[in-house]
Amino acid sequence: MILIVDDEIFALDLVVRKLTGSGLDFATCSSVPEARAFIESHPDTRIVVTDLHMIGENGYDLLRWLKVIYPRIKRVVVSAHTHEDMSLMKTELELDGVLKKPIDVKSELIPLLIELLKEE
Amino acid sequence: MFSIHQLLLDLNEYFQGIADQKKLRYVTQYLTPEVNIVRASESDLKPILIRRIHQAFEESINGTVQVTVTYVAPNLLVNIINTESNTTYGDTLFPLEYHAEDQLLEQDMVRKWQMRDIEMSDLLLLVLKSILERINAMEAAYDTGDYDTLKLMVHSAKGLTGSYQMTELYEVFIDFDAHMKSVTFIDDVTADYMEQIKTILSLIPERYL
Repeated sequence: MILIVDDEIFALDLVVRKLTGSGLDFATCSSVPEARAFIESHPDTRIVVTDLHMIGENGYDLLRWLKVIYPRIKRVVVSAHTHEDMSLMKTELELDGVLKKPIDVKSELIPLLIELLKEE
Repeated sequence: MFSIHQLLLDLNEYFQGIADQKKLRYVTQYLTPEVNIVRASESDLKPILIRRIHQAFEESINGTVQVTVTYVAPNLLVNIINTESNTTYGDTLFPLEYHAEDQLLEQDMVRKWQMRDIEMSDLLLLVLKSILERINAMEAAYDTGDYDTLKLMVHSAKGLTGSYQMTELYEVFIDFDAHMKSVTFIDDVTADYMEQIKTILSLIPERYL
């Protein structure tokens, strides 16, 4: 299971539409608390793809929580930060992937997800 | 009567994956859904010499754009287009016309965005309405000096307009976002960016709002 987390509903809608039919098993959450609850009730979650800036708890909170509680779940960030920031972020947060918004779901996100699933 | 918008959606779908797709998209940026065409039979189409799609753009003269299609299109166009209007331009052009006298490129901006990703065209209209609502919220944040809220909203709008390829807005939001990160309070430059965005939005025809 792949979990996509973003508080921007239209961004989620776009990803859902593009991922549908890809063969990937995925779900979406629009907040960090919702994502936590989902992960706790879905032990088959293998990858979490999250935005960073969200109202309330943000993506950083979710990433830190995942690293401590579920270190085996792969973590990918999708953000509108600059490439430089994203590169630094990947190293500092020990992420499995970073993608800069706007992303092309079919040519960027799906290949990354497939690659991460293969690594397991 | 069929709308040319639907026709182009059909063509675009048909051209998926082949080289002419880009040319088709290029031309469709200059079309609006108001132009209507009428049905024709297959026999009506056979005598027509169909030129390449890029000719449509090249032959844009005096505010009229003639749309031609590639040789693979006729099967799609059966029962959609007739040949009557080609008398205006002789028998070598496919008879789709677009009169653009009162259609500025800016007014066609939404159509252009939609054509970039047909799959998302319906959602894009919802996003557009959402952006308008957000502008109001941004103004409220601006008026109250709520820097943090405004910064987050601008960042979010940058990502959203970029994701939906709303280029004119996205480019302003890129600079706006960079500016918000470079300051720690709301300043006069912030107001300039807000005005730029409102100016772009003011060019959008009411039918989309």
